[in-house]
Amino acid sequence: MIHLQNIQKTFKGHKALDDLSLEVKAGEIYGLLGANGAGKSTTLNLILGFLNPDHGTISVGINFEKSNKSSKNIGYIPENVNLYPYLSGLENLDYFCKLADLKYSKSELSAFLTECGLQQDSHDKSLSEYSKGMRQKVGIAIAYAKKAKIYLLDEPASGLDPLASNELTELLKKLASQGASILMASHDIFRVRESCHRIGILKNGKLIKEMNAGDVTSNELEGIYLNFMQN
Amino acid sequence: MSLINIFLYEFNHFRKSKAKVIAYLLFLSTCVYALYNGFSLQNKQKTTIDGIEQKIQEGITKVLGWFDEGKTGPEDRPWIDVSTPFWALWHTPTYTIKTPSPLLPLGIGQSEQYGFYKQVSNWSTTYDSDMVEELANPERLINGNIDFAFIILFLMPLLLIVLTYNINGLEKDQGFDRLISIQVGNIQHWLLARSGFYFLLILVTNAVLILTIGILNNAFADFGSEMISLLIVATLYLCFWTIISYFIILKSSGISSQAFTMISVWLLLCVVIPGAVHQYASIRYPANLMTDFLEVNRKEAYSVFEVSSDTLAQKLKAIYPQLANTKNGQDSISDESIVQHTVSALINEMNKFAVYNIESLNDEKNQLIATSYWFNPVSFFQNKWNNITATDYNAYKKYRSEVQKDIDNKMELLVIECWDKKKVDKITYQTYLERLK
Amino acid sequence: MKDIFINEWRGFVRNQLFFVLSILFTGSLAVVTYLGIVQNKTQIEIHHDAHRHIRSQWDEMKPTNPHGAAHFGSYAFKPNTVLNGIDEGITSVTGNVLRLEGHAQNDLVYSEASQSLLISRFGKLKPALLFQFIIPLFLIFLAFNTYTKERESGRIKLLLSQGTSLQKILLAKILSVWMIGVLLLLFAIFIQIIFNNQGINAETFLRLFTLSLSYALYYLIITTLTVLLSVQFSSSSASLTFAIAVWVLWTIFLPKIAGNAVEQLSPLPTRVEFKKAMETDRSKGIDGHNPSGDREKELEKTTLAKYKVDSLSQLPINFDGLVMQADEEYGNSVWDKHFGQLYEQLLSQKRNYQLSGIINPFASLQNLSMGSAGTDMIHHLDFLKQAELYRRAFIKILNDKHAYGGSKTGEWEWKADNDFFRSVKDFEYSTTSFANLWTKYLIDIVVLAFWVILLFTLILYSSKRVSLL
Repeated sequence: MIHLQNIQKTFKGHKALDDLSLEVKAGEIYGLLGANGAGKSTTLNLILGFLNPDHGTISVGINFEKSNKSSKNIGYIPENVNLYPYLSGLENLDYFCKLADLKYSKSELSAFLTECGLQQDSHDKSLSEYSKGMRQKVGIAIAYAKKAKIYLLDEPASGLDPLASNELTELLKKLASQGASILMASHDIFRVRESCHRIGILKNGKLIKEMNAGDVTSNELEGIYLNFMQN
Repeated sequence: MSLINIFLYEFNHFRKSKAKVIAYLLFLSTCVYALYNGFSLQNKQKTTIDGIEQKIQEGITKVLGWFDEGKTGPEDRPWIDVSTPFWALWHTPTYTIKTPSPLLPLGIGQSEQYGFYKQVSNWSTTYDSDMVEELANPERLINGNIDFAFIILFLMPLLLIVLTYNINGLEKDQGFDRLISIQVGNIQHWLLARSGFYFLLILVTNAVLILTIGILNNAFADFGSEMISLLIVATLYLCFWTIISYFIILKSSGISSQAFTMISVWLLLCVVIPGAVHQYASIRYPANLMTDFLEVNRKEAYSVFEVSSDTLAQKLKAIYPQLANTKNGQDSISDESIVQHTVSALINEMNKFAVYNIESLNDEKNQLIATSYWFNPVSFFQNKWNNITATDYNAYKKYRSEVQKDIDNKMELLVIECWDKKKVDKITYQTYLERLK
Repeated sequence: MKDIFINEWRGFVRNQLFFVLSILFTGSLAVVTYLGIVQNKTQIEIHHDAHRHIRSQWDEMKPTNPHGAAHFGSYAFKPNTVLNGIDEGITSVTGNVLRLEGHAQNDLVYSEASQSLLISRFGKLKPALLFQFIIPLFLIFLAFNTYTKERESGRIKLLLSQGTSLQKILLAKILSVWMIGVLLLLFAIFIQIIFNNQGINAETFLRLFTLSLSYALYYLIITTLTVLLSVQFSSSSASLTFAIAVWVLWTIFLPKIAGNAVEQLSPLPTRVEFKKAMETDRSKGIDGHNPSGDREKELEKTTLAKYKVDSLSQLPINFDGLVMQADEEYGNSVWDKHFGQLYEQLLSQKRNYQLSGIINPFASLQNLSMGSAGTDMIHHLDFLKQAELYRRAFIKILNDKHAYGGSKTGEWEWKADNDFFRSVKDFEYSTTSFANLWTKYLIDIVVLAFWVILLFTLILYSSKRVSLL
């Protein structure tokens, strides 16, 4: 579970987040929509512990302070998964797992990659030969292999082709069905509508609207979003 | 874009880069510091020379006093008799001095490795232990001095690197290099003009500094052509580095690789290649322990005293044929004491031969160094520069030959005067002074 | 941390440029170290030959007056140390030959630097040149973007989200780069040991250990500083530019500035001034050849009293020998005074230079490198002192022979036989054990350690304060 309460964060006098409160329950996928600079990435960075809030509390399953130990329960997928180009996909996954004190056999690691949609024959290829989508899948595998209860995704579908995006959606749903809390920041209204259970719209650091994804169609969601952005 | 505009914008780039402005100012202050070092050394040498001249004058006054008082020497040393050519010449102060050139502040060169004054006595050689360098901290010597030549040869390329390391690299890093090439059409010209701005900046700086020193030190009067040569060498050297940096800029793939390539080239040309040549020359020509010279100086010199006086007289006559016409030369039996007093002339000849071999060996080593110049340009420019400021090995070799000439003069005078059994009075002594001045 | 370390190494090994550079470095180091050994061995051979030659002249001496032999004198050749092949320190600028004779203390002459045109302002291409100039630059090249590349690519967030700490990442990166420097260093030391096996003993091992330790500490400083700059600066190019600026400042600029500054803080006299001061003091004494001073009269009085005779001609010994020895001893006291002051001044310059390590650790490295190779000023002065002690003993033996060998006062033609000259011991210089000298280098080690601690503190502090975004 992710719980943010009355979070305020200011950068050089500018309010990046203003009294933000939101909750992502276990088994839930929450999509955070917003324009550039709305505060989506700041929200993720606060949860990851890379930033400290000026006010408010953050709890991620347990009481969360800026501690790297707590990040062991979090799986994170950045917008651009820039992994080590001189390692293969499998080696990258192995390395990142080891950093998280996770020890998997080669076949287990390979299985994670396959589960995340990476073809078997690509596992041992150098990452420098990967497309952006393939790298993104390794990034997803890194988060997936942690078997975390919390997943933070920053524009995860950026650069993925429609098929890969769909696979990602399926994977996220699978994780959620296993009890994970997933917070996904995105611009992609359609993907958010498809993947998430609940959706929040951020504007100027404020959560101005929350809704259940099932209550709106993609077109309605786009209308709502544009309406808020234009006013 | 016109050249003027490129220069104006480059000036803006320069002005707005604190690092570049600081580096330039640091370069300027180091130049001033280096020139101060050069002047200090020049003044120190001048003070030493003044002291020697004073000592010479005191010695002369003392001997002239003996003549005036009708004495033949100091009272506590009765064996000294300045009315004989041997003792009169013994008391004729003869110094060979290498007066520092007005160009010394522009390059100390190897001057700290050699002595610059030498008292010439009957037993002098050009490798005497009193010809060693000034007292100095050897650890300071290996680090070297910051002199103007060092600045031109080693720091000027570094300044050029600091000023040009991000030309083109910045555009590549920021991703607008293609935009630039579309705007300017010919990127080579644009880069050349930008590099040219810094070339001119350094060129003007060098010229102003060199000319200022020339004016301050009155070097133009007697060393005008040398001053111009220094300017030409500095400019050619700057051209050499500007061309290198231009090609690195042209092939740039970003600031990091560009800066790293530039510094690597500097390291290669200024440190690695000269160091490798140095090491190779040392293997081919190891440090000479001068055993041949020591041999002459000790064993062979001593063995001369075991030879009969007649044989020595014959040997002396062979060197100085004019001895046949002297009083002693015409005597049927040579005066043993005269021969003994002039035997130093024989040893001088032996020393000259040994020294010739040493100098030849050194010349061979220098030849080897010169053959490296085509791939070791920094050493070439360095030795060219030191040659112009008269502070290189050759300048001191020339000085040694002047010392040898003075020794030869003294020996010749000694031998002729002794063999002619001259009676020395004040006027004769003054002629000695004049001849050995 | 181990995994980060291994991963960094994997990165190095799989980088083609690194691979090529490493091969180049290793090859160059092997060649340079080997050539250093060859050059050193050649010089040592030349030294031995010269030494043997000069000694054989002494041994072949015909019956000669001992005082004549004192003027004939001998020569001390400054030997090259075994580790001169690694770092020749001041060897090329100091002389190599010292004439040892009666009445006079001479200067060491015929430096290698005076025997040719100037070639390199930074010394010969020996391992020390690679160790001091090139390997640090290589380490800067490897470390300058070690952190910025993680940040610029956004990977740092991914790494940290895995639960590892920034401190661990930075330390592992520092150690992985540092290890490359250390391996290159150890490789050169290994070559030195393999090809110079005849000269390697416990003393040399101690010196090699200190040398390696000094470089290892310096490489740690360079690497940590570069990583620190990588953390502090927003871009790789800025951190590289700054790191290179520091390298130039430390390696090229400050050693010369500090060298000049210490010389001005404790100035040395000019040779003329120095000589004049010695001559003035010397003239107060008695002249060995011309015994007429007060001291000589006093010596005559005590000698006559000692032997209970009335005149010098009645003495069973040669009084001239006593006079010459007394004059020598007076000369020695003058030497002790003036050279003592000069050496103290030089050592004071050295101490001040060592202190410059606080702003420039390269100075400390240089001192330790030359010191452990036995090629610095401390060893140089030690050689001069030992040579002077030998000269004193050598001349005393000759003067004693003149006095007590069987001749009478005034018998300058009296000759000692060849056996006597052969019995005079030769000058054998042995480098003072490093264990006895290490306190002189303590300050350099402390300064390097200080830098390591300072930079680690800064990097730990930075890792807590730095923005991860």
